[in-house]
Amino acid sequence: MDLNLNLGFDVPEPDPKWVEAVTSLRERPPRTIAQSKASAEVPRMFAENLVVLRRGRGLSQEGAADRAGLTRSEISLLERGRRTPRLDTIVRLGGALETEPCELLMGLAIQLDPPPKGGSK
Amino acid sequence: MSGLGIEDAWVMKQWTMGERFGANVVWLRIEAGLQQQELAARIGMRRQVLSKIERGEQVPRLDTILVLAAGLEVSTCQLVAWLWWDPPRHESYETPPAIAEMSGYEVLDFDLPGGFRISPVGYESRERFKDRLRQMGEDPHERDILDALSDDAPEGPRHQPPDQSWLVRAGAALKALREERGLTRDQLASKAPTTAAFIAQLEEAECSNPALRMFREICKALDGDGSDLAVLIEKVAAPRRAAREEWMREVRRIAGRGET
Repeated sequence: MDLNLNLGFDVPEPDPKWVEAVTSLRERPPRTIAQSKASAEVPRMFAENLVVLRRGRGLSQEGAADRAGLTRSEISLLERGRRTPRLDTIVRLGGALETEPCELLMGLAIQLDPPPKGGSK
Repeated sequence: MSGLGIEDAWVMKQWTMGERFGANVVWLRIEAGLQQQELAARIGMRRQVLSKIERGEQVPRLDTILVLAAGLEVSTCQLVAWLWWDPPRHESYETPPAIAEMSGYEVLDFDLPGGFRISPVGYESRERFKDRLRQMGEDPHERDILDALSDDAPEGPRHQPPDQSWLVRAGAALKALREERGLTRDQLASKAPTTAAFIAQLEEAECSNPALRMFREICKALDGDGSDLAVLIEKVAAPRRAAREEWMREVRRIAGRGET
């Protein structure tokens, strides 16, 4: 990212631990999930991202929960892939980890199922 | 406010998370040249559900977001652009009351002369903010804000955090007042804009640089006028207020409009 955004304040140097976490996610081989398996696979992959990024910020589950305004058990469920987050949860977690929500969704993509016969007019 | 253009109204609109996301979906769908019906068929979703998402009446789950991105053939990042949420930072930010009063806005996380942001849309640069004020006309209060934001304005006063002995005494006073009122931390947290955990931190003096405003809000919630806590707060607040007034005078002097 070489964008020179004028945000009106100085952007501090990124923490090396954080950079390492983000890079490890970026360099992961891409996996595309079939739409039919999305509800099972998506939370598991999101969980992986969340754990790596949270540790990259050096936050505990409690710490992340506190900053995101969630409870620790919610974070724990998300990190075990037991729950699919809603958009607002993702954005809150993004705020808590001081990053864009889209960093949390790195490497997540879905392959659409072929439309059922005669499905679209 | 009559000087506001469409773009400003858009910036200042109080978007909900769902509306903001819905606007992204509509934008990207139109860019892709798709009708609602076509997109819905492509991703195997009922058109009514898609319509609800686009109007922001339904906040989608992650799997739905990914399916939408696939259907629109865009990256997930494009679909979740323009969404931010700022964690509360009771410890480190305090809106200078002078600015808050002058502007009439609830200015969030205003830390002169650095960052400025409007939730929930996102960030606004100082230049953009100044432009908007200029468009709004020549209200003398707005002139003051512009002066305070001008590039050669001196830096706003940096507050020294209160020392440890003050924190301990204020924590003890807070606890005593709360118990006198017969409230638990949870009950107090429901009356003041904070959490029980933060109140506990204040009482145990574990927060090294709490915003004085938090103490004030809690004191108000406890109906604590004239209490030990109020006295302690004033002890720290008075020099800060003086520093701020001094700073505003300096800003006005540099702006060349004399002492007022």
